[in-house]
Amino acid sequence: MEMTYSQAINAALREEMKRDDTVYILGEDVGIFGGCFGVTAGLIQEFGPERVLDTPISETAIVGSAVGAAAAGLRPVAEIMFMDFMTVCMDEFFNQAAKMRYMFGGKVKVPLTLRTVCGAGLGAAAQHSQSLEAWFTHMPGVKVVMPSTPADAKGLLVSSIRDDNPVIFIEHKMLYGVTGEVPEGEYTIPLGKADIKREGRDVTVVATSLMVHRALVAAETLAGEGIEVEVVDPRTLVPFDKETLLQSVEKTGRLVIVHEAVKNSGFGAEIAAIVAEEGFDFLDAPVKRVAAPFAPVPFSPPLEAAYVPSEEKIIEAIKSLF
Amino acid sequence: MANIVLMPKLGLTMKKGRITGWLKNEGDRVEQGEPLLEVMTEKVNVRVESPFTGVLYKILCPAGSTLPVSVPVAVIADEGDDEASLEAAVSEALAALQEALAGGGKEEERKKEARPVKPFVVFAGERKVSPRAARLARKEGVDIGLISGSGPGGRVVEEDVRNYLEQLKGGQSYQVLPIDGMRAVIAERMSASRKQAAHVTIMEEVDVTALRDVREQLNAQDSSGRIKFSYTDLLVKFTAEALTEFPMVNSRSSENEIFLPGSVNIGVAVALENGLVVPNIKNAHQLSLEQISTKVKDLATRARNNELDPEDVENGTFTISNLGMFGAEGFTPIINRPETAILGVGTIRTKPALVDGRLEKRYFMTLSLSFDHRIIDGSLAAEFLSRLKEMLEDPYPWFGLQPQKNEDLLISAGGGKSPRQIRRAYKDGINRLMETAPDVVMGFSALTEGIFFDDGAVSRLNKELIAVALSVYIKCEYCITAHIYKAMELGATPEQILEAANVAVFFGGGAALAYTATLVQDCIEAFGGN
Amino acid sequence: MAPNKEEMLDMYRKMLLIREFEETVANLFSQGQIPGFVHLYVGEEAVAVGVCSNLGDKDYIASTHRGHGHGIARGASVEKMMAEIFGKIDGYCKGKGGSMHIAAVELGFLGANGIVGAGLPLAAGAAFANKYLKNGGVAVCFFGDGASNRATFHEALNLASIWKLPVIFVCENNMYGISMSQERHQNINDIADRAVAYGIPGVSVDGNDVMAVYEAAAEAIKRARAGEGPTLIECKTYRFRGHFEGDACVYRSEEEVNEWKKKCPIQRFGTSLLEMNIASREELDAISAEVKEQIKNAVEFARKSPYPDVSELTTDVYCD
Repeated sequence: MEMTYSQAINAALREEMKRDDTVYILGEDVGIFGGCFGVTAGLIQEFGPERVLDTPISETAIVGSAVGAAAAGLRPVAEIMFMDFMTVCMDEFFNQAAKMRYMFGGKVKVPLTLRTVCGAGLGAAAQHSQSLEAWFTHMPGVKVVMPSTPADAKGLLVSSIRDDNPVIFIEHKMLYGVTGEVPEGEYTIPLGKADIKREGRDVTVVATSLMVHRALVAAETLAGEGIEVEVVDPRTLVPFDKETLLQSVEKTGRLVIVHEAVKNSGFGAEIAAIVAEEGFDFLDAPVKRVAAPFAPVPFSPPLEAAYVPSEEKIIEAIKSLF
Repeated sequence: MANIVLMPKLGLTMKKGRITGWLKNEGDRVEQGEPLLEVMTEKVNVRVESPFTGVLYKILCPAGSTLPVSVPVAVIADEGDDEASLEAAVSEALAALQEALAGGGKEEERKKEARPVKPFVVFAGERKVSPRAARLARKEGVDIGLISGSGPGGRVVEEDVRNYLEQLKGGQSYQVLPIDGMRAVIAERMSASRKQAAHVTIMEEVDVTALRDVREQLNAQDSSGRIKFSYTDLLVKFTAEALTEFPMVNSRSSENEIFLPGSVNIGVAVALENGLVVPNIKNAHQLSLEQISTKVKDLATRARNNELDPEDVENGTFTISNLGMFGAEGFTPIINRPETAILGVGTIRTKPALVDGRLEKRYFMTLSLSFDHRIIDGSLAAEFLSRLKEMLEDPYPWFGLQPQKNEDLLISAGGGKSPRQIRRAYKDGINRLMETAPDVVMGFSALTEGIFFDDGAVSRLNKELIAVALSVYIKCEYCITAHIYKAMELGATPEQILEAANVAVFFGGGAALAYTATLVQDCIEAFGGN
Repeated sequence: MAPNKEEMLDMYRKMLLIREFEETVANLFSQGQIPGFVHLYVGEEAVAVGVCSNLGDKDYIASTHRGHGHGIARGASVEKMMAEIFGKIDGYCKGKGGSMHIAAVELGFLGANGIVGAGLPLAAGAAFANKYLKNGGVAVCFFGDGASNRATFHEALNLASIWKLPVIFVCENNMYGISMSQERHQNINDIADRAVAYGIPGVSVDGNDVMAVYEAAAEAIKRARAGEGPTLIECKTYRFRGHFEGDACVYRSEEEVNEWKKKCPIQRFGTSLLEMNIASREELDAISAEVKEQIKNAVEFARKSPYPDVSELTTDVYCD
């Protein structure tokens, strides 16, 4: 059935809360207000304030308490309103959630799902628009999920909640209104399985989140010029589906990586490095990255538009390889 | 008697070929004209027919060998050949093969020794190959250096290797062409000629600046614009004149007779879609340039329309093959038997040349004369070609014309730049070059340092002059200026500088010399006063 | 409500066990037999034992970098703890955590913690889980005076307060945040005063009096189990040793240390057990001998245990 990305996430939360009593939601304004972007709307009415908890503006306490509760047997789904705010609860996620299992010799599970929102596009400027996924891919012990479509969002969120590890589930604010076909009923999408969003023989474009959509538009345009683009959506950055990436690059010989995060030390660098290490001989051209410039997200609309990789920039990068 | 199968020359430009497969095994009987082996040239895979009937006794070069043309590749036994004579033939052929291959090797070694030229690869930019293309080439065992790149910046990409492999293996571009019809005639005649005549080719570079002027003047005389003389017309005219002075070059021959005809019938090779045909201009020595021109056009038209009469192609006494329009410089034409000589005409190129101690832009053409050494002695051939050159270089008297003043030919000196300006330009240039292409500057410095390392064998001045030549070769204005300055400081004369600049031509830098001639002159002028 | 004789002797035994454990670790550390660095609990035994003696199966504790005492008070095996500190495979965390990350989740011990103040929200979360699961369990968070200046303290107390979480925040005010004395690092005398800001009870007790701690904790835990929310208990105590082993303690005087050593919580408790005729000298001596034996065995156990295989390097990063 057709639903929005936002509705799909809401549906996943509802289904998992029904299915498993230990699942609860906490975060700023997730209850009566329905979430800053309305994603948790209606859940407090359905499940009550015992399971849908409004928190004070205390990211440290949100994540810290969720880690404690997860270690004590619950499955919290915490929401951090903007990914930018992860800076104020980094210790709880990075030093506690991510490392606890290892530090304790494998004797604890931290089944915490941390939902948060990335991306520019709303004129929200430098502290409410960042794409910081690469930080979290640098944390052994954490899984990093970045869905691009409603169907993926639902299936991946269900898997994230059921996963016994801390998962950061990164939603894109410009995708909430995007609609798409979502399978009926309960289903999961395994973490660590990339999806080929479009098949092509000439060049592999690995794109994440919102960029998947732009890559698909670029692919459509280039198809008219005889370049068949394969668009690979990793969907989860950790664990990362190397096999699909390498198979695709082996097929096409060319790789363009598109992400909204700044290029420097972005996850694109990791993807490029994987191909350099394990698929060097597949390459028929240098690896290209299309990403934001090394600058904070600007406010002014034309600057913001220029900041985020466009279809044109993707096309340009692809064409430079031929 | 044992027959030796040679690596065939399957095209004018073919220098080497790769045996892609033997269609017969040793011990197989083979008929003359029956496909014997497959040879891949630059362009096509060709089935080569056996030139002899007999038993394929020994394959000297297995499939996969890449060989220069005309080396022995197999021995075919005739009926009645005994083992001993066959083995003798095999060892003789092997010796010939080894010698031919070793000769090639020596050539390569010589190239390697010519170290000063090698480092220029740095300036030409390194060959770029994608890892994927390199992997495929490794896997398929092909030399990536033979493949030209179509990727960005000339990078060799997978597709290039695949295309190359398809060429090698056949694939989509695989074609088997029957050698029949005109092709069969050509093949037969060419190889027969090659076999029968003792081919020798000599080449001479002719300054055709005056000829060009004459042609322009003549064409300008006809205000209707109807008559347009081609170089071929002029060449036919002068060759006919020269042949009257050298009847032996105009001869026809058979196994045991030399026939000296009373007329000069000059054949002009006309390229057709599927081969070539050589109609001839009868009594060319008695025809005016206009008549020759009309005749040449008529024969060419009829040749293309397949309307030639048998007499048009019979009784030729000499042939001109003009590959100049296809860009060939010099080549080794095969004699159109039973004629005894053939003139190959190369393309016209401009080069700077020293004329009365000054650089001028001149037009040159290479003439290649192949002759049957059995009939014509080398000295005679050389004299003939020299005479032809003489005529072509001073054609004015033949037409009652005077040289046109052509200011364009002169490469003007000075350019108004003072030594100080040039030196400053040099400094600025180096600085700019350091910013944009430091590797060029460093590479060149390294190279010249190598040259200037004082080994005591070559004088400092000569080394500087070498550097001038190299600078011209790489067209580096700043290097040219610097080294001319240094050379003149060490006492070089303007003539020595110009000689050195001309050496660039030796490195294959003729175009570079043309490009930099003015600067060289300017520098001589500017630094001469020091 | 008050502990019986057996319970009190057990408390005494645990305090001694902590003391013996820590002094042994100090000794081994100085001999270079223990890798890394260690923060020892000597002098503060009354806090851990006084609080933990109130806890049951469903209860959690979250600890600090100075966590050995909390683990032992919660009933952890000294063998496995010693092995962990040695970095051996038979340690609580297979040697992957070490002194600063010893944990025994099976005992409700959510671990020592290398980050000052990190335990407060974790304990709040564990308390939330107990409340959510309605199992009657509580959570205790031990933290120091230094941690009371961290954001985690304020956010966790506030959250626990508004959600009425069954959590007891036990501040071990040992007068120093590393080198910085309390009077230099905060402008209050009693950290318990900060409870007012979150609308929860705050009490300040003599942290070297195990019975005082015990009683304050009992009261707080009773409130928590009754759904009345969190309590902040400040236990004023003192670490006899440096912040970490090897600390030259230039920031405090020998006189000050000696003053506090006179208030040794174990001596005080032993004396009062004798004075109240709860135990005889012989009984206490016997306990002391047993404890020494126990720790000797723990060291033996730790020494004999192998180091983890290198194949352990990347295991336990994720649950499968």
